[in-house]
Amino acid sequence: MSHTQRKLSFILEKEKEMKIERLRRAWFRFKKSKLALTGFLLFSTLLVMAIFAEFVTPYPKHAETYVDFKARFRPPDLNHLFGTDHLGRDIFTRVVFGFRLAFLMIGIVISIVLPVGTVLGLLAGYYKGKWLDYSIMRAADMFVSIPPLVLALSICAILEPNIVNAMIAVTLMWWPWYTRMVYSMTSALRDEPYVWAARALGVRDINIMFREILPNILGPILTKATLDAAWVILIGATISFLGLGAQPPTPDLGTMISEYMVYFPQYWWMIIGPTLGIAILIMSFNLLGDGLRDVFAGE
Amino acid sequence: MQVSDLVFDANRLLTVKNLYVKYKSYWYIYHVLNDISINVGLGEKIGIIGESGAGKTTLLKSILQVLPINGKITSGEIFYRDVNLLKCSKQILLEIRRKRVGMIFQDPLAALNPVFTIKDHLLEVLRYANETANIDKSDLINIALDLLRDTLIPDPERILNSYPFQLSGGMRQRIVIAMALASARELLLADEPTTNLDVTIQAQILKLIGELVEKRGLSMILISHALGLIRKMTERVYVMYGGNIIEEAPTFKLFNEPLHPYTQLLFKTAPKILEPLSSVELRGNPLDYRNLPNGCVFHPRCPYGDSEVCRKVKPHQVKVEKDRTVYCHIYGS
Amino acid sequence: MKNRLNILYVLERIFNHMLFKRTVLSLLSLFGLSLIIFTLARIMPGDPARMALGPRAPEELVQKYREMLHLDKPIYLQYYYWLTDFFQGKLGISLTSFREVSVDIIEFLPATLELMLYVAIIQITGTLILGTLSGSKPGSILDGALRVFSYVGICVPPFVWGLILQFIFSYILGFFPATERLSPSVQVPRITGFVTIDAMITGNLRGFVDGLWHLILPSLALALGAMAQEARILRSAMVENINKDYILTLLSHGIPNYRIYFRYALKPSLVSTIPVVGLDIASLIANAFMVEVIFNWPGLSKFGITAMLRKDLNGIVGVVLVAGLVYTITNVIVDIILTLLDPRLRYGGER
Repeated sequence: MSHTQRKLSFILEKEKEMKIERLRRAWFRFKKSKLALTGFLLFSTLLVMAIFAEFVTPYPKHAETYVDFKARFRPPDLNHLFGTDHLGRDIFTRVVFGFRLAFLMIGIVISIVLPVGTVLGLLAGYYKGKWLDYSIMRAADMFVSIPPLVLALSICAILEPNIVNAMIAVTLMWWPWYTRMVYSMTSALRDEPYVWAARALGVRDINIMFREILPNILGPILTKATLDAAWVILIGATISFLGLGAQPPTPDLGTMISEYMVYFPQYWWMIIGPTLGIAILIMSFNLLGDGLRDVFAGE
Repeated sequence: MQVSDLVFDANRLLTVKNLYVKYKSYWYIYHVLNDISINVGLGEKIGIIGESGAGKTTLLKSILQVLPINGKITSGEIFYRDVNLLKCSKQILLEIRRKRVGMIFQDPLAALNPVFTIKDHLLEVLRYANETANIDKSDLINIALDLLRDTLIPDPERILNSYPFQLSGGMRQRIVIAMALASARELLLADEPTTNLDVTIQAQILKLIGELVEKRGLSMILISHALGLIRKMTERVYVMYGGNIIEEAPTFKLFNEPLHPYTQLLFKTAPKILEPLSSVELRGNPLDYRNLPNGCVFHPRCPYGDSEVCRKVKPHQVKVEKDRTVYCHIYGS
Repeated sequence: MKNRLNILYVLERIFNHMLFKRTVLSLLSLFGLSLIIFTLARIMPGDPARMALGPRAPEELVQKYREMLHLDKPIYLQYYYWLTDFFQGKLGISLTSFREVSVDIIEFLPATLELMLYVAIIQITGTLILGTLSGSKPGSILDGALRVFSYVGICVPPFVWGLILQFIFSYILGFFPATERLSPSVQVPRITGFVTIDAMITGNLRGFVDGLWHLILPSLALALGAMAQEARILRSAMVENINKDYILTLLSHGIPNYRIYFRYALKPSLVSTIPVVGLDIASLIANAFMVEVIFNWPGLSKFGITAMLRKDLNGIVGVVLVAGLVYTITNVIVDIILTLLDPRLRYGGER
């Protein structure tokens, strides 16, 4: 091993140590951060509720098609926390099932957008100035120059309005924002000494991207994913609210609001449940995201 | 004007007594200045040396109370002439900032607001520095031009209408100096005025500062990594380490025979006079301001610091000569 | 060597200018957008004409619709026809209203634009006031209140704000009207399509007040959440700037606090806040959909949602393009403001 090579490997070694050290510190700060912890607790409570919706809700049958005209329009009481709706269904039950749908949507959308957006951003950022950069980033620019909601709505409209297509629409609308963030961070990091060192040692580009650069931008990516999850809920709810997403009797929070709005303002309490549901869901992701940001932003 | 022009003691234009400063972050508390006492006499030029992060900048900022929001002076006294700056009225503090003391900030790239022109900066400063003199805008512009000429800026009219990012680092530093001079009628605080500039310009700028201070008869506190310059431009030197003063001496005596082990190491490892101090190689870890070591702050890294007393007892002031003090147990008793 | 009067030099400056690049890029993006929407609308499985007209429509009608949209031709020809029509100002016949889409848009767009205008006014003034006040005193009661409020703002979508405001202020308190742009008894002649402006032009004070009264709730519903977040951004930019050396330098010269906060810290903070505010205002063209539905506002959404639910292809493409255009124009305006504020952009970046 020549002297230069030793020096280059030293730089890489040092960077690896730094990575581990940074993670250790982030974990320490996470444990100390009240914000992140509160968000995490809220988030996991909601998630558990959503997964075991059949067991935590009083009337699991009420989630979708169920009619009990005798019990309709009941104001909130101890049996029906948020009251009952126009078909006599327990709104609390439906809201908890709505959580399940919302989490499903976030899970699916993120598991597509996160890898795709990140890889595209990494590629464009790493090959900055090459044709790959231009084609990816111009495509992203194009999607970004349309108001996101309009794009999502029209995609939903052209396809059949249902929850799967709403997810497709949100995915299509969302990836460029991701790619742009990863792009700017990658293109900032690609001139760091350790990247040069790796390149000089003949490490393959793919490995540099995923082993050297990616771990360093994972923090902001996760933070953004968490904060954006809140946004996905909002957009999803809006699409459903406008009647272009999930259709009744699916217990979607947005759909529920638009269903119950018909009986507004006479039976105004009907919208309390789904509204609170959306708010608390978004809040949990925002708290978690803000906590993560504090954690990764350093001291 | 409420600040007395009479000096009770010509050796005490500025006196800092037992100053403690903390920085609070979201996670930790940093004890940045611990029991600092210095004084500056009328017309005296003081140097402060120490490695980066020793608290020198914080000291200068706390004199004018322009610490960042998370910085707090927890106790101590700062006297300017006969006024206690920490207890005086807001008006007097403003007056001292406007008309008596000027400060040159460390980084010329950061010290000018990017979205305002040089003219905006200078006129704003001059307007308040000459508040009572009742002069109008064209006079202010003339004063500004004079200041720019004093700091040897070519083509001052053009520079006046430029934005900071359109100028070179040396040029920006000259403007910062010009601004500081507008307020500094008695005392100039110069915080590493040459970092981030290249070597030839460093020398020019320091020469310029030296001349201007001489010409205007100002007192000065100069912080610099360039030991040669400290030696040339100052009369007395304080050495700082870990937010403490560890040695104080007339410049020539300190350079001839440094007493504190830290100062000795400093001079040994920076033999070339322009070498920055941060390259000092010492054993042990760098200082952690969240929990400073007990006893002498320097003991974990001191070549002689293994004794019981160094680890447990904070060293007292030891007067080695009439005008020299050192804070080290080696010289005690 | 460059002669400043040289026309080539001037042209070069213009072409290299950020604003010019951004505008051209946006226009290109709009063109690409039309392509995406157009293609998406036509490559979907199933027969778009049949889907649009419903399963019970007679076959000859479907055939006629197919011909009208050139659905029987290959897709590139379809796009070509659509594009030539587009440049003649024709967006095709809408299935919703059986009129030219551009006519519909001209009828419905001003109501949305007017709403956007008032939301923008509320957002900008609110952001400036709340942001600077809490930014100049971090940790104060106002700062804490803003923190809580911005959290609530993020968590509550605009349509929920709409429902809450409508419930409290019109159904319970009866202060404001719940729906529509004007009371039935009030007439304002249509000149620009902006009710308040038309009323002002014609000197119709009653119309102006009535229009304004109808605007308040929907604008608040759209503005509140975003405003809280923008104020928060301005606040943190201020707090960050106040710790910068250039502010401490001025402080060390004894410049009074009010000048430091409202001039020297505010301007650089605006540079980082304005893009966010601008993006929010531009997004209003779409976000207004949520609130317009609740307040039965006769804006773009009224046409857009119906077109979407009926799979009216021409209508959808028209709405998307107009929304994109408004979005682009708003963004360009924001860029211009930003360039005026930040000399670094004006003179082409760091040297």
